[in-house]
Parts: sequence; structure tokens; C-alpha cells
Amino acid sequence: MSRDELLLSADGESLTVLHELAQVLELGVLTVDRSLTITSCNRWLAAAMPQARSSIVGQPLLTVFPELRGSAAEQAFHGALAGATTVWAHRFHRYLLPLPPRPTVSEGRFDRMQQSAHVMPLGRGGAIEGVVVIIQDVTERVTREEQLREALAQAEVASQAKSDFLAAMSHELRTPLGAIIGYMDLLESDMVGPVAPLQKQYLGRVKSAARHLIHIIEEILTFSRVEAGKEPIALEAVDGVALVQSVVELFEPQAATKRVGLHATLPSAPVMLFTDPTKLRQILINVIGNAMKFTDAGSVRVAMSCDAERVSFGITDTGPGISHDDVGRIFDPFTQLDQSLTRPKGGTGLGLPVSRKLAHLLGGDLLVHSVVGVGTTFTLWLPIVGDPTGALPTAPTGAQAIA
Amino acid sequence: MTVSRVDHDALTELFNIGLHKAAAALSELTGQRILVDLPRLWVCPIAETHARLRDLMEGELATVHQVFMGSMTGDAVLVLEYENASRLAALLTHGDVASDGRLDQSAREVLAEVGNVILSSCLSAFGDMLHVAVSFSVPRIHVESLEGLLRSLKVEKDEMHYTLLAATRFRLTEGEVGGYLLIAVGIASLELISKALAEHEP
Amino acid sequence: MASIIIADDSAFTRRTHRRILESDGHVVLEAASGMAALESFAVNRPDLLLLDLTMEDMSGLDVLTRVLEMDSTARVVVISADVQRSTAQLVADAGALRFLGKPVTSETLLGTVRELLSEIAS
Repeated sequence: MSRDELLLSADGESLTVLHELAQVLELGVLTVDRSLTITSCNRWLAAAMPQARSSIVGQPLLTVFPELRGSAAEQAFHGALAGATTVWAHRFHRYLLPLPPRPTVSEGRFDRMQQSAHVMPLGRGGAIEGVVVIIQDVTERVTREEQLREALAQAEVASQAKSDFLAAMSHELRTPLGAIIGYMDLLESDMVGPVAPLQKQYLGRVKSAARHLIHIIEEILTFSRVEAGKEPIALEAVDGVALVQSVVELFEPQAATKRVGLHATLPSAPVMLFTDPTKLRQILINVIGNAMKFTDAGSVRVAMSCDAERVSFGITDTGPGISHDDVGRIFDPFTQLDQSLTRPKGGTGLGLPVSRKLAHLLGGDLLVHSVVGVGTTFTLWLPIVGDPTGALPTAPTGAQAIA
Repeated sequence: MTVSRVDHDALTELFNIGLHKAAAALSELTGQRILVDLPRLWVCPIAETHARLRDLMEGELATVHQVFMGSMTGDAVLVLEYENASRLAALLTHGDVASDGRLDQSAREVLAEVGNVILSSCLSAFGDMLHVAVSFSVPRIHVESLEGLLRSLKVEKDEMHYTLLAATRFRLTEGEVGGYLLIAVGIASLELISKALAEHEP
Repeated sequence: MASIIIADDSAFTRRTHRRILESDGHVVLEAASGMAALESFAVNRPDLLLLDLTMEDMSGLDVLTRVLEMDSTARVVVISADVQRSTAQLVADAGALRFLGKPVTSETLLGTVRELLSEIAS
């Protein structure tokens, strides 16, 4: 017989078994007769009540718990006398019997023990003898749930504060810099009066420094946004080949000045990608720019290839290379390898970490392989979402050399 | 045994009354306005029930069982697909439980009480209208598969089993959820119901 | 003895209520939908209309409103399974004379009908 069948068909013998069981449970068990006089109360429940057991058993329910008079709980008792079982969920009722909270558990959060309960008839059909109530102390569980809810709410507030801060910073920093560059342009253009060539040269340098500052601020803000998980992605279909080509062309003047070779090996047909083109450009500019920065002799090669699942961009330089020890730190923010070597190069040390995070955002990754004294290869790969258009050659045909 | 059109219409109305009573009780409990759709009803032998249920629902199910006995005997079950169960619990508690779509202890308690209200209202509507007396067991909530549900239906052995299956929607201001009531009875109880409907005097 | 229209899309309910009313000597007409109820009311101008709230083609509240537009003295009793308090209020505000919750006992139904008919007589 299951325990509830036991309760329903409570004859004298099974009631004895029930009482034995009830004494050892970590639940409150209370029984009343048809006149709602308390006929038994198990050890757990008696311990939870301020009164002595002798002044509970034999007393009317409503004398021991006057608060119950006229309440939904009293109705549940009458319902049971008419044969109905009531499930008393904590979320709807908080408690069935008004009992003080157990001190170790509630931490002063509740002034009553929080309970879930069942109210059931004793006996069946025409022979209902009374009501049995089974009470579970759920104070601990409910306290934890409330604490969790509060923590989540706080986290949400903090997250919102971060967003607001980043947005405000963005605006606050760009506005004055925009003004600086704007006024420089005006001065340079002779509109406010003639400007001597040397003065124009100085203006040019100030503008350049301002632009550099904007670039650094952008990098820091992007990094913060990506860190906070607040960098939105705008996906669209874009031709990867055309995009890489346009980025490579940006570095042609610099390559020519430094007398460094700049070569691109790209597929001859367009490769359609479904990604965020702005971020892809950002990554490529960062990585190619990095290669150009650290290569004083030799060449920088950009190669693009794809298979069924991925498109890869390899950027190989003939710079000094990175040692085994340092290669692990190259994607750490704010770390520039050996300050003495890199100090003249400038930068925030954020370019590569941001690029890698952006690659992750786009569903791919940025990897590095390097040999000291030979050079470094950075590989960016992205997933191809959906079918690439047409049949693509896996080995690019028709290499295009630039410069 | 097939159910006549009159019986079908009458049974639909019985479920309708039971469900509306349940909605009123839930409305008192939660302080929200709750509407229920007129139920669609199927009466079929238990062998067909599996196929019928498989057409209607999929995945894990949250069920509240209540065995009843007296002049009619059987098993009454409130059946909800898992996601619908968590959504119902969340809607009825303004998001205090199951807001993450999972049925934790609090959500299960809520559903057990809700299931108890719905099943008791429907069974007592049957009882009152048909002048039959039934008493119920303690309601139990389970998360189980369709196969598990069907295996667990308690009806007396060596009898042909039938199920009355009613489909409805619960509509609250912030959203709505579809669910099913399944009452499994033996042929003796089904015949009793049919006889009581024919003689029905209010 | 009065003419009464029963409007409800459940054949079981119409049959049940018809039996009760005819046993007290009333003349009963049935309407199985909102539109049918409006047509029957317009043609027959009964002493009383018993109206269910949830019918497939129109809401009972719509039917109630339109009947009262047709005849502001129309006597309408709403009989519905929807027994929430807010519903009873809506129905009263819309002009129904009584609201009865399903299932209706024969005493309640006959008692309500007698009450309303005696109000006409006086």
C-alpha cells in the first residue's frame, strides 16, 4: 500500500502505523476530528510550536490557532471533511499553520515558518473521521530562491550601469576630439586667414595625433564593450574577397614608403560570407597593420582560402618573430612585449586582444604561429554559414601581386 | 463501444462546466482573470489513446495524476508539454516561478496545486451532474514521457480501458497555454456515465 | 406560462433546460448560436431570453447588447459556465437582469423565471 492509500483508508490498525511513521518524519503531521479538535500532533510539529504538547492535543484547532478563523486554510479543513484534498503550495499561500520560523534557517527574513502542505480527509466516502495535515518547512528553499532573485536583480542593475557608462564615455570623448579635428581643418583651409606652410605642417601633425587618439579611444571602448558582452553584431552577406582586397589596398602607401613587399593571394571568384563586415575589416586592419608595423625588411603576405566549412585569412610577415615564452602573452590585453623594443611603435597593446575577441564574436578564432628570426603568421578563420556560392576552388588560382 | 453524438455533446458540456469552475477557483487563487476555451473531446479505447496523444503532443510532459474511486473509478490526469507547464506556472505567478523555463521545486508545487484544482473541479462537476459520488487520492506531479504516462494509468485490471481526452487553452492577460485533461476509466464506469447522462435530471 | 428563448450552442444544455421549463408549462424556443438568437428574438419577441456567454459565432455580451438595442425592455438572463466574479459584474453592467452559473438546478431556473414573470405582472 502506498502512503497516501494508507492515509485514505485509515482504520484503527493503520492509524497506529501512521502515527509511528509520523513521529520520525522531518514533516509536521497534525490530525483533527470532525469537530476540528486536534487529535494528534507529531514530534516535529510539537517542537516547532511554542505551546506544550499537552495544551495542543485535545484542544480545538481554532483555539490553538485563532488566526485560522475565517481563512482559506479553515475552508481547506472543511473541504477535507467533505472529501476534498487540498494542495497548499507555498507560492500561493506562504503557510498553512501560523508557526514561528526556526531561528537557524530564516535569518530574520520571515516572521513565520514558510510552508507547503497537503490537507486530506481521514477515511473515505461516507466514513470520513477527520482531517490530516502534512506540513513541510520550505523556509530554507524559499530564502535561497529570494536571495538568488535579488542577486540577479542586482547584476542586472550593474550591467545596465556599465552600458550607460560606456555609452556616455563614447560620446564624451569623441565630441571634443571631433571639435579639435574640425577646427584644424578650418584653419588649414585658409578660411580664417592665410596660413604659412610651416604652420600647416604643424596643424597636420596635431590632426594626426588627434586621429590617433580617437583610434586609441575606439580600441579601448570596443575592448570594454566586447568584455562586457555588449558589442552588437550586424550580420549581412558580403564578398570576402572584395573586403580583403580593399583592406590590403589601404596599406599600399605604407608598404611603398617602408620598401616592404605587400602581396595578396586571393580566390579569383567572389566568396560570399554571412558576417559583420565592419568587424571583419577591423580585425584585418589590426592584424595587417600589426604585421606592417613590425616588419622593416622583407614582405607581408595575405592569403585567403576556404573549404566547405571555413574561410581562412593568413597574414605572414618577415618580422623578428615572437619567442615561445612571449607567444602565449600576445593576446593578453595591455601587454606589449619587451617595452624597449616596442615603445617606438606606439599603440595601446589592445589591437590583437580585441581582434581575437571580435573573431570569437563572429564565430571563429585568431591564431598565431611564429619562429624567431624568420617571421610570424596570424591566421583568422570564420565559419561559412550556409553554402558558398557556386563551386569554389580550394586552392586559389591566379595570385595577384601588389607592388 | 462507441459514444453517441448526444453523449459526446453532453460530455463536452460537463468538461466545459468543470473547466470553468476550475478557472474561477484559479482566478480567486491568483487574482487574475482566466478564461478557458470550450474543450475538444475524444473518447477512445486505451489502445488508440497512445496514437492520439502522440499526434497532439511531443517531448517531455508534466503531469498531475489524481486517482478517483467510488461509484466511478479511474485516473484523472492534467497533461502539459514541459514548456507549457513552465509557462503556465510562470503566468499564474507573474514570473515568480519557472521564469527560466525550468520546473524547479516551487514550480512543481504550484502546478500540483493548480492540477489539483482543475482535476477536482472537473471530477466534482461530473459527480454533481451525474449524481455519482467520488473521492480522490492525493494528487501527484511527475515529469515523464508519453510512454511513462500511459504505463502509469491506473485502471482496474482485466477490464477494457477507455480514455476521455479533453483539449483546452487557458487564457490569461499576459499569455495563453494549451493543455489536456485525460480521464481513464474502465468500461463499467463509462457505461455508468452514459446511463447517468441519458437519465440526467438537474 | 411564458414564451422563452434558450440560446446556447450546447445541445445538451438546450435539451436539459427545455425539459425543466416545459415541465412548468412554458413555451420554449431554441437558438443554437448568437445570430439565431437575435433572429428569433426579433421575430418572436419572447417574454424572456436565457443566454449563454460563450457561443462560437458571437460573444454572449454582444448578443445581450444588441437585444437591448432592439428593445430596451427586453428581459435577459445570462446562464454561463464562466463563474468568475468579474464576469458577473460585466454582465450586470451590460443590462442583464440575472446571472446564473452553470450547472443550473431546476429549482434555481424555475424560481428565477417565476420571479421575473411576476415582476411583469405587477
